[in-house]
Amino acid sequence: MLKGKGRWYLVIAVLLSVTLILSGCGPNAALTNGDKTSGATPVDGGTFRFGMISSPSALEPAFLEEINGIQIGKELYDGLVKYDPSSLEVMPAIAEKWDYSADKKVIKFHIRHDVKFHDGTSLKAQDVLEVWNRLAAKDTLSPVAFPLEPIVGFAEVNSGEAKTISGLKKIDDYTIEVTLREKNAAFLTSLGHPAVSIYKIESALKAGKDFGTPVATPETLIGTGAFKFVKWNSDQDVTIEKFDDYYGTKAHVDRVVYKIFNDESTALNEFRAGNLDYVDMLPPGQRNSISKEFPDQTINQTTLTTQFIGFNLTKAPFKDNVNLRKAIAYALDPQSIIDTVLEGNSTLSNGPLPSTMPGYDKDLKAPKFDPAKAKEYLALAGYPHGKGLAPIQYAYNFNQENQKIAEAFQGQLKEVGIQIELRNMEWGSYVKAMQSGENQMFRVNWVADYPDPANFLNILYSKSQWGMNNVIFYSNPVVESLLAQGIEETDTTKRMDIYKKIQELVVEDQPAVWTFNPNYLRLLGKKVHDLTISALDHKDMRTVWLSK
Amino acid sequence: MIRFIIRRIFQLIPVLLGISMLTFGMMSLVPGDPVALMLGQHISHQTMDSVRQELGLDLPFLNRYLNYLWNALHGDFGRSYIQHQEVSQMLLDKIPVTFRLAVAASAIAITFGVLIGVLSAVRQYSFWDTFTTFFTLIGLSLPTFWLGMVLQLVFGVIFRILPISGSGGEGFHLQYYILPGFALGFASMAMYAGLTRSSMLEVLGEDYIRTARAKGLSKQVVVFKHGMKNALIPVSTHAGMDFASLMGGTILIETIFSLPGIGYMLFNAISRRDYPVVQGVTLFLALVFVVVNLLVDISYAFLNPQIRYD
Repeated sequence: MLKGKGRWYLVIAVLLSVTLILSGCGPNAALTNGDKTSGATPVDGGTFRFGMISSPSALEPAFLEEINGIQIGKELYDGLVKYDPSSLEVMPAIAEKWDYSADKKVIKFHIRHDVKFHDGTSLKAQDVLEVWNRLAAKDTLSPVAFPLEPIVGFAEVNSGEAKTISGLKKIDDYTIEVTLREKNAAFLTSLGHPAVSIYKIESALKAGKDFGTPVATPETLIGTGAFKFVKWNSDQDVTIEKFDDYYGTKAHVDRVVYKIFNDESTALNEFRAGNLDYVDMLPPGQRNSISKEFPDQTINQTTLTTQFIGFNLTKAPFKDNVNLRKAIAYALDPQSIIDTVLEGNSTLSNGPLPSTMPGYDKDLKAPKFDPAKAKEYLALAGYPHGKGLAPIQYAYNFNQENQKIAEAFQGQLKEVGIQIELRNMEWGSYVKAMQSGENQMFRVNWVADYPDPANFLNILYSKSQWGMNNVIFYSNPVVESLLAQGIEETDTTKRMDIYKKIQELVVEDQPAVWTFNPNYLRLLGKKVHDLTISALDHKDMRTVWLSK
Repeated sequence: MIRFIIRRIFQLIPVLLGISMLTFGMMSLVPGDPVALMLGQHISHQTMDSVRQELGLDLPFLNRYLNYLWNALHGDFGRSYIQHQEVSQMLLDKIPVTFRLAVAASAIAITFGVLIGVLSAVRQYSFWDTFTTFFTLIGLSLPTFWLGMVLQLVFGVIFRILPISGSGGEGFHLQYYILPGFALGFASMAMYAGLTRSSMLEVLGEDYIRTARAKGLSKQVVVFKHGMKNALIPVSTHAGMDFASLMGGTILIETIFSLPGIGYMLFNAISRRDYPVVQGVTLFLALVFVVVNLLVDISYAFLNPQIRYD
């Protein structure tokens, strides 16, 4: 704490700086790691104070969709498998091992005998079956039941025709058998998603609709994770506590308190006052100054996210006009936007997959900023110097950053003669307009649910996803056949080759301009050690420790 | 008087019905599909349609409104689309926080505002009077969020004597309401100062004040006993409506100070398009306004015997 005259000078400086700041106001396969003390011996104990921006929506696994819910949920609940936070490789969790049948359609999971729920009872195969049946049930209305989709009988349960998934069998108390409709190389990886984690179903049923809401209690919200639930003060904080009977490596910290903020600046001030050990999001426009204010206390994390400009391929002017799509791709200069609007907090994307995703092809030849080529392709498209091309509507969900990026795109396209009209939209309307094929050109941001290329390619570029996730209405029979091969191929090398081929074909068709892979800047306290942030944007509370 | 009160209470019914219809109508007109927001993009159109049906969102406007009204009359404002919690329960949890904040802001505003106003009137045209006029102007012009952030930095970060955010968990922790209360009440404080000053100046020019002075009463007794008592009538009647405004004006301050009140809840609900919560909070705030308005009207009669209602 400052004393004497200096304090008052600081007060004046703060008043001036706040005025200046306000006047200027305006996420995967590898990791970024917060290992600050390589070789130091971890110390047990303490409370980790996590500055979280915006409240988690729910803590019920069936509704773990947004990042804050997932962040807390993955500490409370374990699934059959988990991801190595550094490499994102699939590792055993509740299931200690698994074997495949010869046709790779049947997987037998062997459950550990020492897994306990937070109430001290043991986890058995029946618990897994009941939780998964509930997740798939029509009445649950889970937006994240997709990992179970490949299982035989899922569709019947999801449509309300059946109560239990027929492809799910209990062999004995510690063995379950899962039968898939087709071979699926991404299935095991998708089981690392926290939505398919296991919880104590009896207590969940007792809680009814209040399960996983802010009125949850430690008696109703029971998982098997390294931390157990203590309390959720709505819009204020969520507290979890180290579970001493955890079957795996025990956490170092005794407690984690997720303090909830709506405003990044408030969280930053709490950090400055020494009341937080970590801030998850920083105020936009201040990232560079924060890096200078806290040297060696920031992590710049690249996540499994891709932002792109999608073209509606069912609508003029983009339907059957690859040259126009290429003209736009050459006319845009995303790097200049990264350098200015995004303050360097993104990397340039070169295709459908983020650079940290398995299967990413760094040699992919996507068009790069070249105004001369843009004009050339524009002429080939039938619009020399943009003549005869009506203004194109560009839609995006409104926020300050998206607005600035859209304006920059508008200026860049104007340089080559392409006029675009900006259409900022409210989120619900924006999603509906995209899914119904109403927009011509639009912003898309895709964040990985699990670290597998299928989570991008089979979802965003398959005809089966038209009007849902394939909002560009892309379809190429060769790509479609390769997507089917890719999902079934179990040899990783061959599979990644298939995905590389898919990427080449998609880039050739240019149904989109892939612009950025966002990075996120995080702030760490000086006492924080070994905090690992995975490319899925999961911050691992099991490894972090606090020095005295 | 009792007839007047009963009549005014009955008059509240159409007002509240109108407000409920207006908020429900506005929410229906807002673009976007609440089901798409609830379920995200992974869900098939068939499932979305069945959810829409289950929630009654496929019904005509009037049917949906009547269902909503019927349930609301039974204390059921529905469940949050996002947090899956009952809106009525959420309101009950958050109202005390907002109420405490509004009380803190009112207390700070009235206490300091009146004091400044009285001193300014008593020392008219002095340096103090010029200063308070300038203060009033600044107070009314300063953006609340700016003041909030400066207060956080000065008292939370530099001096570390007051908490920056939150409400301190369960129960009432006064220290958590000081900074947000001050930030919220600052503009009101300036307004009270201005109001008190002009009212006091008017009263101090009255004959009975001159008489009191002529009787040899001390300046303090003249100002505080005879002058202030009458000068505060317009201030006290204004305080009611100002309190209601403060209750409704907490969105920014609760967001900046992470105070889990209804303003913070409304901010989250709007940004996540959580329509049942938005409707519930709006209706509650409207209720606060009309009830306070009623209480202010009633209090006129008590405070000023010249006013009579038939």
